[in-house]
Amino acid sequence: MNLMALEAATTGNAFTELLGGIAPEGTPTWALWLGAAGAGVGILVAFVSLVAMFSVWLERKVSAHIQCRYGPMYAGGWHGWAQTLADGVKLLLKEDMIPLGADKPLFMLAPALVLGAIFGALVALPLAPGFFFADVNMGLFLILAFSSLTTIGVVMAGWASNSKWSLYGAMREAAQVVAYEVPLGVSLFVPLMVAGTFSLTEASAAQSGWFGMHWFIFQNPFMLPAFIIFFIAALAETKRAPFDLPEAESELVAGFMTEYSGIRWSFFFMEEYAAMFLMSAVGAVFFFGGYHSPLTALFPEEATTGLLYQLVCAGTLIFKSFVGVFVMMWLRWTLPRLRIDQVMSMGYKYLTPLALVCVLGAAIWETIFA
Amino acid sequence: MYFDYLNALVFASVGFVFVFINVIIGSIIRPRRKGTQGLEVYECGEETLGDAWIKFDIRYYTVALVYVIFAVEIGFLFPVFGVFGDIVSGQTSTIGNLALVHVLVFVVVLFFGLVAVWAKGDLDWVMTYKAREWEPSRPRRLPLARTVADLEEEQSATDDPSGDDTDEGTTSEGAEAPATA
Repeated sequence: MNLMALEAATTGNAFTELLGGIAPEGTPTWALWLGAAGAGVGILVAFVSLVAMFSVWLERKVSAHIQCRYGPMYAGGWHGWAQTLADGVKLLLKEDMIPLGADKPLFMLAPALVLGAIFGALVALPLAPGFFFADVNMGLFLILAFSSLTTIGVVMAGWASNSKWSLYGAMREAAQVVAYEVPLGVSLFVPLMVAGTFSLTEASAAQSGWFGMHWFIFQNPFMLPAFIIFFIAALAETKRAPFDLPEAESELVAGFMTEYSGIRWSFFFMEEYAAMFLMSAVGAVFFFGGYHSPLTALFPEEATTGLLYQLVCAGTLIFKSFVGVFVMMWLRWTLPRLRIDQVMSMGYKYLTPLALVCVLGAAIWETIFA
Repeated sequence: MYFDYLNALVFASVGFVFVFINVIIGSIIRPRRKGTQGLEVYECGEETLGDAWIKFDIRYYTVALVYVIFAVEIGFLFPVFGVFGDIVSGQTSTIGNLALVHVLVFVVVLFFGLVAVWAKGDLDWVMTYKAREWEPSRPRRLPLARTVADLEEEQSATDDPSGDDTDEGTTSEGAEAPATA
């Protein structure tokens, strides 16, 4: 790539600007770009790891309190905050087992594919104005594409394990995704119509002002049903209960990851929690105002470029996403698992027609009132 | 713009490599124990029987075919709804509300497609394949299992002389009955 084009492309990226400010005079552009890329990669890896660790701890705490238990209490001191960290170290020290009958290359490839897909999807998510890894103008499409790539990893894991449990899990995952990709995509047409953009940065920026009352959810009466359909489909997409049929720990030992152990297994978990966060964040960006809230509306116009504003924005979006993650956990420990034919008929016979009706209604509403 | 897509690719490959880096770190720091017992495929403690690489009966393949069609339609509709708001407000195009008609026609056709598939029963999970009713190759001489009620009926058929007049079949069966009873 031409360096001039590169320079033009990277201006506006927070990392490049930050490094451009502190780098000594005469630093070549490519060094600046490499530095920005390194910083971005480091931040994303740390971010995904932290989100996964916190979510695992949160899940254990939420499930424990729903069942009138305490959950982890000892590791780290305060309410077992370091439990996941200790578990991570333990998992790293575990024996790396690949079953003798397994398809070795595919078995090793599957967790990498799953995690790579979720990393690629997280790139399009802006945490604050100007704080993004990549301003992808087809952001929503990119996220949907990458998150359905994880399915291939899951099916690959199930098939490569050469275990009956894994095979069942993988086939169920395929069935489930076939049923839920359609309502997931169709329900996102509604906010797309209001936003008029695929870019998550632009969609977030469009919802500023009015103390958070410019959120897309208030723009159109069909937004709320569309959000509910999106959320249910996202639950199925991230393999969460009541749609956790692929791993179904009470019937198929651990489903597609029965044969995985140690650090390889932990990456499937990492992907699951990162995907939960990502789906909730997409919901927050396209329905609930992205990084805007009454709190960020308090900032005067001239303060909106400062670091404090960016931190508040990032905090807002992360908070909103974790509310979604919390609701997902709450549902998991409340609802029983569906049967696979119920899952399929739910996807096609209920959610898809409802989503299409929402889209039609929203299109008419947009034409008449907007 | 392409730079951003390159970014996405770079991050995806970082996630990809991250797994292998961790596996390598683990292989360096963990203790080494040799043994093959743990490497068997888990089958609830029993010895593993056969492969799992079998011809799997995918019951939902019609649904999967329907999904392919719907996914393509969604792919078509995504850009349409991306610009729909601007078109109907007259910002980017002069066709205005005609865009609504286009969208309505497309979505309604999609809807009727779903209804047609539904009515055909392609969305139903195939519970069982109905086997043909089993017929014995030649008439069975004796019933395999009989209930007390059957026996009593047979008994009454043999004991009661009036039964002979009603039906020939019951009497012949009833005559054989004591042989097995």
